[in-house]
Amino acid sequence: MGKRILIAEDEEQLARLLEIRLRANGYETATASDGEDALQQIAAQPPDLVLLDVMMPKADGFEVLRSLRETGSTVPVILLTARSQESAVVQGLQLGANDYITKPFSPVELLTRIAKWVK
Amino acid sequence: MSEERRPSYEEVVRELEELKAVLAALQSGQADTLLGSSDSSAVEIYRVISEQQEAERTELIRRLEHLSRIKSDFLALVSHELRTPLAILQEAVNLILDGLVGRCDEGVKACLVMAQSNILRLGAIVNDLLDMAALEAGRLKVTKEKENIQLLVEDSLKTFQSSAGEKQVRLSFETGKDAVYYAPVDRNRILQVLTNLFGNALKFVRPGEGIIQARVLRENGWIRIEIEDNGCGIRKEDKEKVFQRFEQAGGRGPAPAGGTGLGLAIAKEIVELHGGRMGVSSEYGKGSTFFFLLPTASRELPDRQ
Repeated sequence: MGKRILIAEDEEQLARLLEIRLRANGYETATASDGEDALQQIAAQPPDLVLLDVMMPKADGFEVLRSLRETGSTVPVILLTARSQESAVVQGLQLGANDYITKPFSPVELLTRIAKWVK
Repeated sequence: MSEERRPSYEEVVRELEELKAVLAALQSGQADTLLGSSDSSAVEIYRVISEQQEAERTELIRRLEHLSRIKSDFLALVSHELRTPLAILQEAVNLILDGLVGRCDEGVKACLVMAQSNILRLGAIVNDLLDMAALEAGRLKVTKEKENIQLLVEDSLKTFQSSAGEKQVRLSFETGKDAVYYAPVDRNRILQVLTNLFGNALKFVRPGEGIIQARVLRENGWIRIEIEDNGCGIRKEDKEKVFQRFEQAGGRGPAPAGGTGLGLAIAKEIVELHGGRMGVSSEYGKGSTFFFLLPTASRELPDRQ
């Protein structure tokens, strides 16, 4: 069975494109359009990895991350951030993100980083 | 962030200006005139005034910091808004080119490759403009770690090998063989500087006869990185201009050679954020050598801010 990735991204179009890319590479996908939605979905059916956008409505990526780690979840999280948000990257890693990818991203980089955390 | 209603950008800028004026007035201090007085009550008044001023000043500084944080949040928001559509465009085109959403014929592919390269070009411009805005807002920070500078330069040079090959330009690299040169730097930011310098050199050398030489040298307490080309060179009167924003040699305003005219200005600022210095020597018609110096130990900036 394919590994399941939750894409938490409020830009619906980007989420759709990510789904196409990931499915073509053998992953199963689900999407969440805001932070609260992401947390609910993770609780209901823990995915093998979360691709987490930083800037999202309701709860942003940091809040999602904090809440996940506080409740003991060890699900691998890769942050999606804009370049030159170094402070955001540092903050994210401190909060327990496993890795990050900057937007716009290269497909190869995306898949390599995901493969590293989905075992 | 939610401690109060988020003010508009205009409000933030206006209040920042007002606060700066008040702070300046406080610092020049009306109380200073009392200082020379031998009258003890005047000295007492001065003491009271300066205590009040201290409290006011602390409050002002807190307020200033808060506002400038809000100001940089606006910048982060704009950055996000510019990059998201670029990311979507890029990924959409990549998916088609990678054949993941159906077959497309060669003609379609050729057009998409053009779209793809221009998305990258636009992305580079957006990055330059956002870096410049971040620098102006004092928001661009460098996170320094000890790095082998020789390796950094070699890594950067490698990324230019294929484009140099296409243009039949020769790349070379020299450094002291006896030692490893380490310096505390922000790896990605120094790579950005090197990419800019190599990119420029490649842009200005003639195909087939271009030579670009990179050197990493040691100069008591500094590491000196030089990138020499035998390209068109820079006129004396343009030498300072190349480091100015929106300027390029040989033209008025941006873009005789493509790009924003921001790359070198940003590179120079990044080097200065490291406590270093950047410059160029050039002979018009014969070539240019851009160099920058990085301190080998973390130490304070030389007088220049």
